[in-house]
Amino acid sequence: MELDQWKDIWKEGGELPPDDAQKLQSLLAKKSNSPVSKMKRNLKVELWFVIITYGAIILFYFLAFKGRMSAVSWFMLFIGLLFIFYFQRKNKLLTEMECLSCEVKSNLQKQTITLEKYIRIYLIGGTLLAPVSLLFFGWLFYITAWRKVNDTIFYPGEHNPIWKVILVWVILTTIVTVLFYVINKWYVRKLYGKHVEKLKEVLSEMENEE
Amino acid sequence: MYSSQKDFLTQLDAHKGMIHKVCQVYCWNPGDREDLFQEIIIQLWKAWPGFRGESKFSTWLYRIALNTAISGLRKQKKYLVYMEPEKLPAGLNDESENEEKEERLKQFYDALRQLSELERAIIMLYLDEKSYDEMEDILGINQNSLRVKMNRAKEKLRKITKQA
Repeated sequence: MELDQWKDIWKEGGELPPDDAQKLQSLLAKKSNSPVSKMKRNLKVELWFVIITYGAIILFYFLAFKGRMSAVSWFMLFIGLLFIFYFQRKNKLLTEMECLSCEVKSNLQKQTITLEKYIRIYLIGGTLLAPVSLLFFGWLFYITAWRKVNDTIFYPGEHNPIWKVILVWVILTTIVTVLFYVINKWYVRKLYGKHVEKLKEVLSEMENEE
Repeated sequence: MYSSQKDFLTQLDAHKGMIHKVCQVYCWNPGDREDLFQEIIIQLWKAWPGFRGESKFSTWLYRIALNTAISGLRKQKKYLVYMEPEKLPAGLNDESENEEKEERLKQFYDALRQLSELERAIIMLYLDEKSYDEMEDILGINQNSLRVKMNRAKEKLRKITKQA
């Protein structure tokens, strides 16, 4: 059967009985399950998780140990503020990510570019947190318990010249950074990899001028 | 005029056949079709305040429906499921003479699903007798390229339906 002959059958396929108006109306109040909406909801959950856990830790270290460990609170506060900037940036990208009433091609272009930016931020943020935390807690341990540790390879002392200590920390930080980068890369790919590939595939077909 | 829920529901009721077709063409099983139908309605409603009537309602609807179906990636099991008789559109399942038509339509949807996502969209717009201007407006692909893609999709579909 030729394609033109399908037109009649196709048209009849669209003839439907009138839907229950209430059924359609009830759909309007439902939550969207699109990938972007889900990402927005996950971001909110992440934000609340950070606010609650960081808030509790900050409060604890300000009040406990007669305030001697308040450096932890200040550090967490600093990281928390960076997180807010990070969330704000991610939220902005998610808001910009789709324009469903735009032409299909331009929406796909927009989504692909924005999603790649989003993934980059996710990857950089997740990777940097590990070495920064490692260095901070290494420093904190040094200033609070240095007498007990000054003979280890991690801190300067009689047998540990400063260049050796720096080298150890550089190696350690590099290992941790690379490890976190690999883990984050795997996780981000698991979350969004297939979606990006799919978008790119459709987009490439659209952009192929022939 | 276009701001009230009543107007929206009236327009929606008149065009819901198009949404059902998009769901048929882009989803393999009834569960996914229902989810996609719901998602398209939600997205249409979210976008409704921005609809100024500058383009036809059907053009606007097609953009949102196709964007939702194509970019709203969902994992799907690619198996074919026979439509349950009660879920078939009215007018197709109440007379025995239409049984052949039902079967043909089902076969056609199955064949369409073997095309790429873009080809499915192009064929669907063609079957709905959209002009190349409208197709360009919906898909954002220039008309020369659309013509080439259309011929290729038709040819591919012809081969698939012949094999079936």
